Amino acid sequence: MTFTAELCHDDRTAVLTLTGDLDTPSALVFQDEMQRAINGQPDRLVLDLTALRHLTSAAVRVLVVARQKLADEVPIILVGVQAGVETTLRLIGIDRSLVFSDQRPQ
Amino acid sequence: MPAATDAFHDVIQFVHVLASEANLADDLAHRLRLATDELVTNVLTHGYATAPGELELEGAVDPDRVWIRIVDTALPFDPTLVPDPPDLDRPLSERAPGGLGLFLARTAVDDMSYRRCRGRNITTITVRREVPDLDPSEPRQQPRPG
Repeated sequence: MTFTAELCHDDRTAVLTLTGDLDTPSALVFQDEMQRAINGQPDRLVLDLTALRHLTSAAVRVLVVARQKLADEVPIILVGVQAGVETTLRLIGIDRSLVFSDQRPQ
Repeated sequence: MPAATDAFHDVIQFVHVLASEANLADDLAHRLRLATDELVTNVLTHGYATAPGELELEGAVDPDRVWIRIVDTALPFDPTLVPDPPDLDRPLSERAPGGLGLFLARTAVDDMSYRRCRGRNITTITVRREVPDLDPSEPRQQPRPG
């Protein structure tokens, strides 16, 4: 399934909406959009994963780098994590370092 | 198939067809795809980093399992012997970004084996046709000692 990434800003919140399959070839697109989000120096970063079906280590690498580039007080919030994506995050154990939510924060 | 990033979609389609034939539960199908994804990525980005080569996939559905065999002609490399990342218990801010792919491949499936034969790396991954427990604190497949 084709991967798409769309970045929007809502006040001081960066919202990155991902759809499709985030595998190795598509990780570069994710990386570019994530860098754009970081460059905006948001107060919080929301990743809307409601329509993301698959995620590999290439995407996890982008998440790790993003966490290290953002200030400690800027949370990364994952919204709508689907089962296939959650499996990857749990196997690697990074589910303990991120904030999960069923819906976008207001 | 020629080993290039473009081959990725063929790989994914292959796994998808196999998982469908086996009527795998979504979680198992995802695990099979994840492990295949990571192993193929490793071959393309490391094994064939300096020169392209052939990548061959075989697979089958048995009564109790589904297996996929990934064959390449790169230099000898046993993915079952790569140590686990040392920082899995640390927060993201303290982790190394990379080195997770082969760990994911090993832990996603029920078994991974390797042999070198006639100048080819042959890696086989297997999932049982049942839904296993998922406990990230106890990886299901440890690297095998030489």
